Amino acid sequence: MLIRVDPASDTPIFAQIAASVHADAAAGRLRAGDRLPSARDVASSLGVNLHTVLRAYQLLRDEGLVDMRRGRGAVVTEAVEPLAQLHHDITALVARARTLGLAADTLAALVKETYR
Amino acid sequence: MTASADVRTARHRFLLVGCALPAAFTVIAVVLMLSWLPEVPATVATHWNGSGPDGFGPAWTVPLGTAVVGLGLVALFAAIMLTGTRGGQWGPMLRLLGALSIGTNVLIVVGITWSFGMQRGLADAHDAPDIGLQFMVCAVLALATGFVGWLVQPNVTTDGRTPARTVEPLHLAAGERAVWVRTTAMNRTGVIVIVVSILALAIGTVVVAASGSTAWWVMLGVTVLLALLALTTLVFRVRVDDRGLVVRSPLGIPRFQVPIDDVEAVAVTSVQPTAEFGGWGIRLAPDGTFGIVLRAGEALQVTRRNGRRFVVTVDDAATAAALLEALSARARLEPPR
Repeated sequence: MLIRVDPASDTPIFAQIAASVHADAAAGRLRAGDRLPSARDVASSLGVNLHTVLRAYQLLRDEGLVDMRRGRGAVVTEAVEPLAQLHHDITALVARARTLGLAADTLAALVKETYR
Repeated sequence: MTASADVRTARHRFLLVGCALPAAFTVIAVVLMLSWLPEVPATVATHWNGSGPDGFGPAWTVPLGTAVVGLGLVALFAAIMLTGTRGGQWGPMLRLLGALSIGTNVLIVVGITWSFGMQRGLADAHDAPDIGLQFMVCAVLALATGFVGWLVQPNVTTDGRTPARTVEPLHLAAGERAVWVRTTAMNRTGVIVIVVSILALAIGTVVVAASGSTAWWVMLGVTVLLALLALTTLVFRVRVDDRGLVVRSPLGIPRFQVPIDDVEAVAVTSVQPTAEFGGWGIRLAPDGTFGIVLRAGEALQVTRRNGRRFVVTVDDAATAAALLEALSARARLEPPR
């Protein structure tokens, strides 16, 4: 799985980490039962605070995407499957938006608006 | 995939050198020993230490044991070759395997037959002469046979690694940081074979201990050692970040790495374990490629500054390669911190 953070971005680091995990799930790179890398490892690789990573993992737990167990770390739950199923639709939608010259934020806003 | 003419020749030569000849040697040895049975003592010496024979057994077990071991090894080498090269690949590891098969066969078969034949006419196997010199001769003979076995096999290497493809670097914003992590594990069949073998050894240890033999603690040691080896080599965590590539077992040891400054090129490749590395596990291929080979197929390949390649079989290798490519490109541009 790929986790990326851009300190220059307006989005908080913990939200970027959570978004990366979402993207991994949507890309089919995560399966139910997979274990997320330890927060300590991620923190040291990304050069961010351990608590920032833990906050991201807690966010994912609150969403039900991962299960936190003592000694086993963060394990991906069945909730990952719907995300993976949307993978092709999202890729197609983004490609279409790009050819139409739509910015990512505009597309995201449109999706949110429609979802309401 | 059908094998090319070269590979077919290599395969036939392997079957001749590594299978047919050893099987023939074994049969000849067994027939010879059976014909000597009336001449040797009912109990023969089967093991020697520096000063003379120290292990004995019924005479008939020697030809039987030779048949089992000799033909068993032939079957093993044949199975490794036939299952490992189904896709039509070939490599120097297989040539070595063929040479190894005939060399080992000569060492075992000639050694046993010779020591057995020496005991003809003896009344008591305790009078069996020392076999130090015979053993040396057998060892030299085995090496020579293995060498000839190597020479008579053609040097065929199918380019299993040509499909190595370079990848587009992942787009990273300036200052953006990223990490890619993935667990790679031995395939299920491999794990089952290894676990069952260790269990069998553990049961054997208990049986030996129950029989009152003092050899049980040696077996216990071997069992624990193998279990520990299995634990540290069946599963690896692969990580790519701005420090480079790290592959380590869940226990932390062993740990292999390619620092980011040592990364010359990155590619995605497809590994054929038997043809390229001679099998599974932590491997050094004849061309100097270091491999962590847990299964066939998709793998991340990193070429170091000195030209040596580091290969690890892992899913989603394309993403790992794209990130490592981007990070190493950035490390080349930025002055070292």
